[in-house]
Amino acid sequence: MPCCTATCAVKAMLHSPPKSDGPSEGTSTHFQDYCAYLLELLPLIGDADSTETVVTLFREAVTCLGADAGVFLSHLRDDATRASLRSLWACDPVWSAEYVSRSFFSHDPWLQYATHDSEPILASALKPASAEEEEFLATAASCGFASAVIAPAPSGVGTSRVGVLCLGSQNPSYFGEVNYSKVRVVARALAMELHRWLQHSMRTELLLRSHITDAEIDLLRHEAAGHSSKVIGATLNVEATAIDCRFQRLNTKLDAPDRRTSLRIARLYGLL
Amino acid sequence: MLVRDPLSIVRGKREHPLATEHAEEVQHQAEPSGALMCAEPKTIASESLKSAVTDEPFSRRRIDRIDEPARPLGAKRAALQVRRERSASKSKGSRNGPREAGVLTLASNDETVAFTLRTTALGLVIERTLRQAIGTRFVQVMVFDDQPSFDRWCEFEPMRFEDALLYGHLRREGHAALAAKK
Repeated sequence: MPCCTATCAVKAMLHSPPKSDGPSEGTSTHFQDYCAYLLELLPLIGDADSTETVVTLFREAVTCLGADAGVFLSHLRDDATRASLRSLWACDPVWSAEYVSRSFFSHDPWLQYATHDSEPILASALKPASAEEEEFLATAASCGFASAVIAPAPSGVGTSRVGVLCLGSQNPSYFGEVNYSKVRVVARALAMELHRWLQHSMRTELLLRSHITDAEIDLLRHEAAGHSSKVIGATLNVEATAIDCRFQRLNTKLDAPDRRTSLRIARLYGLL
Repeated sequence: MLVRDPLSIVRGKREHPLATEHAEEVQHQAEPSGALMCAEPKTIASESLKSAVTDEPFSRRRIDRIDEPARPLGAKRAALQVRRERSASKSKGSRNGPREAGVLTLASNDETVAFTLRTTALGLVIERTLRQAIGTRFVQVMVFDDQPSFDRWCEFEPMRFEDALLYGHLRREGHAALAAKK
């Protein structure tokens, strides 16, 4: 069985969580305990070294908040025709299966909200705009999201990369007005840490898969500055045709049709 | 005398340096002075190249804004890209089978859906990837601690109808991994 020090540390930590039923229950000492525990979990999530660690910690954070379910989705628009949606699931497995079987990712109102708003919101405040969205919300409610908080995780590249965290409870009044003010703060922090981890993981994955070199990243920097092949060639003392060839190799590595798309991918995945 | 758009100042847009150079060139060409026509354009061209190589950003190429949707490909380039993707997926061959220790990838015949199973100390990690030639590439990551939760997920997994062979393989491998964890 594979085991590493980081995983062992996570397991050891998960064995000693404070007894928590969520932010509404118990005394202020109780609330402070769970806040302190969450503060310990958050940096571990952002710096997690593996997928299983981050999903386990995410699940732990969801439980610590007294929620029954949690989903984090990160949407990335690679180019004009392709988009990537990566997701971490800490909920009833039925919801993850239903989400894909009914193609909910095409009309997800949570994700839709996160693309144009950065403020956390109660799911009950979202108005379904279509029959598909109504179906989405009804199915979500039956899978542990009867009451839910939506926390968008915005990025520096606007709508090209958007993350959204949804915390849910089977209790329809769990994330009411009283709890919401506390959960809102923690949910936002959790969403940003998950987004940070996912961005780092996608960057590492792309670097490993593409075997892109520092020289090629420099080429992309020239492209980002708007330099033509002639100008880059003059700077690097090579022919413009050689620069075109280098870009062609780079495009193949990044699975991009042209250098414009290569630059976009490099910027979205944090290579530049 | 250069012709500038007065609205660009009001809008806060900076005028492109090349636009200015081009305007100058056009202006010189329009003037009837023979001396300017033969000597000046050359000087401007050499100076602009010099500045581009040294420090000035030579923004001849259009730079897309990253926070906006990508520009669509032209018809020919889009067709070429689809052809490339098809040939790349053919050359990859079968993706089923072990890749590295503790990791198993199972894929459907058309390779649109793939499952990566990894046994870890924290449970069975399943990464389900849905690839579409055009559209969203959807990746789900889940961790299963025990067999009941894995079985519950399997009961609703859409591949049970779409690819029964793959589904059976997935269940068997999942059960084996969870049994080994115990």
